[in-house]
Amino acid sequence: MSDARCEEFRELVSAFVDERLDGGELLRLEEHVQACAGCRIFEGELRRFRGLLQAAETFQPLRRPPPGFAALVMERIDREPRAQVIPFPEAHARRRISRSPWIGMVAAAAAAALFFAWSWQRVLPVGSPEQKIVMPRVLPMVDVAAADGGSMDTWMREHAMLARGGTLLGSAEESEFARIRAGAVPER
Amino acid sequence: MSVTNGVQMGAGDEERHLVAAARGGDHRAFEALVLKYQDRIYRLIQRLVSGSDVVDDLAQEVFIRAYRSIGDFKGDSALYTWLYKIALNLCRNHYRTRGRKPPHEELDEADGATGVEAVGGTPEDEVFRREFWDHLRLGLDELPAEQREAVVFCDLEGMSYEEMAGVIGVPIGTVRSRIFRGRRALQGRLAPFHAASAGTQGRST
Repeated sequence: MSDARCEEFRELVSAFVDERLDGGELLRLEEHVQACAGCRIFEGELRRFRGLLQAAETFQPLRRPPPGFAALVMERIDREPRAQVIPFPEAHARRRISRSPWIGMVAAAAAAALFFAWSWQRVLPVGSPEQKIVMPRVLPMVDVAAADGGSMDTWMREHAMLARGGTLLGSAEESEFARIRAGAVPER
Repeated sequence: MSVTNGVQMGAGDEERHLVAAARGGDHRAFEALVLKYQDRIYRLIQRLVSGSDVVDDLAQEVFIRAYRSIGDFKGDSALYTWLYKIALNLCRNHYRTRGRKPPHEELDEADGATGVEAVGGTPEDEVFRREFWDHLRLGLDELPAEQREAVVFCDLEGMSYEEMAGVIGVPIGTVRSRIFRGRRALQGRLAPFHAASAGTQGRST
């Protein structure tokens, strides 16, 4: 019997001595062990080894908590200002707020705004009339996207189009932007 | 079994009652839970971490963190497995911050610990036990963390695969594999004791 094949079965032997093997795996193991003296020896060794580990329970030098351990813990709890139990309903409410996807969305929107501001600065000449038109609109748009419940995907797609096309950088940008939002202008 | 307001309470009910009271900020109820579980937590930490100097601090920290977050304990698992999770995370952090300091530097401290459980037998038996334990401690320390945890929980704590999966946060198949690999590595480390034990068994039968 090859070593590689036995190695696969020895994990099953380990589960078998824990009585955690059944069904098809158990049948496969029994079949293998009948034909493999090495795995039978391994099973015996593992059982003895496991017994030895469990016997260590009776003679290991483990300590018990010192006298007054619980009182010491409670003293520390009383002393630490942060160690205050938050009453359940309030704790639940705080968790709801802290885990709100809304906060994550606003944070992501702010990060995206900074990214687009940076990329536009690279596309548009610094101080150009176009940049002066676009830049003030970036951050307010984050608020709009968040407030109207628009997804970040939509918001980012629109801004990618703005950045690529440059057709919105004129007097007609408001109406053009409205058309994009309405889906009248296909994404390029 | 205890009696509260004339109503008999089982151990589970009593614990639920204590947890509910602790969640409401009742310090005495929480102290009762500390008293109930301090031995188990103290023992677990000694098995997971070598070095007697840190056991006190880690055990205290387990209960302080439990107190702070008892509002998160929903009661869908046993309280002790929830405490074990906290203890396990603290022990993992301890290993990360301590680094892989050679564990034998710390064994002498443990050997000199007070409160060591006395066991009878001949002086030779005592030497065998002490050496076996020292080598077991060294062997556990040399294992990768996930294998050490698996062997400690399964073979020293006697936990079921399901309990381990819950505490460690991995599927049962992973638990099984980690136990096997941990045992194989430890078997190598403890081979001389294993042989001696087999020889003793052979002579006695």
